Amino acid sequence: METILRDYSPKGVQFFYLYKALAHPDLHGYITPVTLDERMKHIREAKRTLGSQIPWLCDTMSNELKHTLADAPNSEFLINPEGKVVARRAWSDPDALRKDLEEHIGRVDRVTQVSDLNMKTAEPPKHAPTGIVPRLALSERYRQLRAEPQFSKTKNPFYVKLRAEADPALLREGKGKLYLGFYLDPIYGVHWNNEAAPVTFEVFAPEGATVTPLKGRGPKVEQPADADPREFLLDAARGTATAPMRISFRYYACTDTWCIPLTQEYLVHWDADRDGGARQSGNPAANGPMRLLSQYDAFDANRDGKLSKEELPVPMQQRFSMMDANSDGFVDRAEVEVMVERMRNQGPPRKKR
Amino acid sequence: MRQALLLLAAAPLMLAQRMDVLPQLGSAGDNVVRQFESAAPAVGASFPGVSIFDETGKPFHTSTLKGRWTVLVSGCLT
Repeated sequence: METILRDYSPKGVQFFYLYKALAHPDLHGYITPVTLDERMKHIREAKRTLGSQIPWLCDTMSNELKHTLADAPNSEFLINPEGKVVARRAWSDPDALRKDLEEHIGRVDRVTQVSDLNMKTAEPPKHAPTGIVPRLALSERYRQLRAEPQFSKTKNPFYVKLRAEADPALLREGKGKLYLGFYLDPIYGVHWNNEAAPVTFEVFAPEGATVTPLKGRGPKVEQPADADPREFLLDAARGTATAPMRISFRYYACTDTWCIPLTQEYLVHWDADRDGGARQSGNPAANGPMRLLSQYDAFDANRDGKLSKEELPVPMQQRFSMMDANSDGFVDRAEVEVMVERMRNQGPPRKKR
Repeated sequence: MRQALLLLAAAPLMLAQRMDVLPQLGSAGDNVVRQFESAAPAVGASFPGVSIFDETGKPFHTSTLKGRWTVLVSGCLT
């Protein structure tokens, strides 16, 4: 996209990324912002890590534009000066976008290559070790519940954020598993101080509902500090309840220079949040590159040992140029293995508690 | 070398487009496409007017995109 910006910005085309709800909360440690100010911090973080020159717009906290644009997490629109949609894609496809621009604006004399750019990218922040407290292995079918941080009851940011999820049985039949994950927000540079008391929570179930247990406490951790989420799996039955659950949690928010005790609350509703995003799978095989590797032969329809763009499913085709590291027009097994290796190096796999 | 090339190629793209978050095969990606095809503003339609924010937090209305060709790509930090 950056090469297209360099080529078509001088021709008067304006480019924007649109920030909206996170598609993959917990990826690279980032978690869903709960205020506009936190979204601005995320935008600055995106600019820092990507090194992109493309300006950002930011959706409302209720994701009004995302909903208006049909919720696709990585859609793309080309709009003409009259404000009409000229091209649209559910998944951004830089190759196709360049062709659109060539058709409507004209070709450029020299196409900018990625190698022409001097983009300064950076890694996501890491304020304390991870991989110390084992993660729960949950099905991808869990869905985030709609949750409202109770700002009126705290003067501090939510340094730790609650992600509440329900399994399909709880959502469909009203009785099943309720996941509570307490995640440090990396934009505040905080960590768990394991020499202080661990996080504790209490669920105040509305009349008609039952949740077991109603209270919980994070594990005792030997290392002095870490940044792993504290996760709990509860049994819940909605019963006749229509009111939300109130979940209160107490923790120490700590950096290297300060540490404060906080008690904060969320109201958690019983319905799924359409903007909750998709959890990272606990099953590595379900993630893109690993799945691509495991199904490599099945994709290779003509049995030539390499994958053409046409042999890949549509959602993957728009990533083709990124997968094709040597730009020979094909993705080969070695290229997929590099992607898988990179993904494996990002952190330890989740373990079953 | 190959890994370096891959990382270089990935750099200009949004985090949402990194290889470790490739859309999964099967129903999830298909559903996104189906919903988009049926509900997103169609080619030829006016881009919707919505009040949002610029990257400094100041109010921004999408109607101000008029007057120039515009590329708008949805994304986020992850």
